Amino acid sequence: MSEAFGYVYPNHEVFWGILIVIYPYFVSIITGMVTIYAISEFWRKELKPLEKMILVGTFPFVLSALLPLLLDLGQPQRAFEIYVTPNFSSVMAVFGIVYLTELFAILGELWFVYRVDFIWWSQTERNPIKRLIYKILTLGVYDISKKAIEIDHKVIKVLTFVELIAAWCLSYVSFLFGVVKSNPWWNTTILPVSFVFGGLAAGGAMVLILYLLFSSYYGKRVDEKIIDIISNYVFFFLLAAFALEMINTILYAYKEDIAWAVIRITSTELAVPMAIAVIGSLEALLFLRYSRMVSGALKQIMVVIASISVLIAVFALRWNMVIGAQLVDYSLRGYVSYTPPLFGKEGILAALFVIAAPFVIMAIVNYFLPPYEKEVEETEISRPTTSVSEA
Amino acid sequence: MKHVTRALLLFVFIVLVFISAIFTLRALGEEYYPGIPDSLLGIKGLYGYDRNEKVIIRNEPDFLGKEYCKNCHEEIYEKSLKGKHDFECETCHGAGRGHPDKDLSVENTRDFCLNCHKPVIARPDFSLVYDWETHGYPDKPCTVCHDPHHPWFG
Ligand code: HEC
Ligand code: HEC
Ligand code: HEC
Ligand code: HEC
Repeated sequence: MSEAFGYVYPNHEVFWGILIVIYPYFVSIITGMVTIYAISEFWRKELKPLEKMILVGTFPFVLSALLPLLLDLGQPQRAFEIYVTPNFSSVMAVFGIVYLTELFAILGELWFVYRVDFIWWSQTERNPIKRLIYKILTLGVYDISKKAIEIDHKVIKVLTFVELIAAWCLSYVSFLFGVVKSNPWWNTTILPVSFVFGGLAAGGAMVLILYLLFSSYYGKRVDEKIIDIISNYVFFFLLAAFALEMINTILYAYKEDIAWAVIRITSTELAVPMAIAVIGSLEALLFLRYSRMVSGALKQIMVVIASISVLIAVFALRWNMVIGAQLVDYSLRGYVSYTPPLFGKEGILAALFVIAAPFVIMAIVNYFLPPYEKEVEETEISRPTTSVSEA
Repeated sequence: MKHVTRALLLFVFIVLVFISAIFTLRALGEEYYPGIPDSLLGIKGLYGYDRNEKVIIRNEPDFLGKEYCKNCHEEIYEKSLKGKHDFECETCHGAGRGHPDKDLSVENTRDFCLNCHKPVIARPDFSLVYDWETHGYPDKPCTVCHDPHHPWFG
């Protein structure tokens, strides 16, 4: 039977490759991290110690979210056209504006959160170049009165809100990558919701990993309570995403409608990503659940394993959405298969480069805006803090 | 309050620069943007399809059309025109490039015909075999009774 496939509709091609998978993936991670940030800002004051770290972690992802799209463009030098000739009736085109909102919100957030530190560093930093940079970043205002800091906190709240909305809108744009293809399996009302929940889980997992990394880099004690709170969120986000996907699929199987035909046709092509998504999610759910009952190194190992599986499983889900949606012909008479090439602009190496980019940027951001102080450093003058109660 | 004002001014300044850059580029016209970056990179022509389509256009065609098959399989060609299987030969036999060196024979099975004749939700309602499990001989190919190139009898 398979002989007949592959050429029945030969004009059918996979245009969106692995890079377009990475784009919604990054956006998911951004959405998740921003949401955890908002949670720490609005509800769970216990997560406050993480706020700078989450910002330092999110900012590089926001910066590099455009990278896969740029690499995918045939003529990257024309990318600015979306601003020069804006089209407000296209959600895809409005993406540029949403992205800028997100970028500026997070830049503003960084500035307000680090403002007191800038002032402190501009006085104490030994490296003259760094000191100059901090001096410029203070914008010439050295006001650390209680009132000024209170205003900072209000502004930060507003910016967090803007950032949260922008991040969720970005998510919306990126699941369009699946819906635009409009094959029955992916053309469902549940997709946006399960997409966002998957993203929240991925972002939370990224926060967990970064928290452990930053803590060991700065020699800080890992606070198990923080890990518990976040892994609890990740657990429920992942559970929601997983349950929604499953309900959807079971509903299709029960109705045996057109979408079920699509699932059956593609199941051979998508077997590996689907298996990764299902097994990865289940395993992560188990580990997250039981990590709460242990403590110490074992807990950290379990959380790291779970977080990595969440990240991989969500990547597999994005793969299913972007690539999978393109594999089936609209007439359901055949499918094409897709293996990314190793080299070239859209190859696996380029994809690895893109995935590594945020971490490289993160190291640079961390150099200029360290979220914590090294535990060994000791200064005589007591350092001003950003929190009102202590100031 | 002073610092908020300054930050706000800085932000407004950046936005203004951005917007004026957009309006300048619009006023200058397409010869300047994307014209100049294009010409710096040696790309000719202001507009075109995206890269993928350009690559595909450059490929030699795999499908040659039934007029090509007529050159050597005239008999089958004439016969097919009389029946309802008068679409492209390559729909069933696959891309013709490289033939006769490339084997174009098809697997003569029931499944092969049923690819098009089995009722499927998305399929238009033409000559479907609703009793496809039992129609004809369940264990013999359809071609025992139907000529693939002239499927109706007579
Ligand atoms: C240049 C002449 C020529 C043209 C044009 C040509 N064929 Fe053939 N074809 C042959 C020859 C010769 C054979 C016998 C090959 C053999 O028996 O090994 C053949 C055999 C076949 C067979 C039997 C299976 C096989 O490959 O041996 C099929 C099916 C076939 N051709 C289909 C087509 C189709 C479809 C086209 C149009 C795309 C086409 N041919 C165009 C010369 C041609
Ligand atoms: C509906 C699908 C279909 C179409 C359209 C079709 N063929 Fe065939 N063709 C077959 C099948 C099935 C066989 C195998 C028959 C067998 O083995 O008895 C075959 C066999 C052949 C053969 C080798 C056996 C023989 O009968 O000589 C040639 C040559 C051939 N086709 C040429 C053509 C050409 C030329 C056209 C276009 C005018 C064409 N076919 C269109 C399905 C098709
Ligand atoms: C590429 C798809 C395709 C394949 C494969 C195919 N057919 Fe058809 N078949 C058609 C189309 C299209 C028609 C015409 C429908 C119409 O116009 O009503 C048709 C019509 C027919 C008819 C009705 C003819 C008439 O005059 O009413 C028969 C019988 C038939 N096919 C048998 C077969 C057999 C036997 C095979 C396997 C060798 C086969 N088909 C393979 C597409 C296909
Ligand atoms: C025993 C010989 C025989 C076999 C084998 C056979 N058919 Fe038929 N087929 C017929 C006869 C006789 C008719 C016309 C009477 C009827 O409609 O039942 C017919 C009718 C059809 C029609 C209906 C055309 C229309 O417009 O209503 C299609 C389509 C068809 N066959 C396809 C196939 C396919 C596909 C296969 C293989 C799975 C196949 N046949 C196997 C004998 C056969």
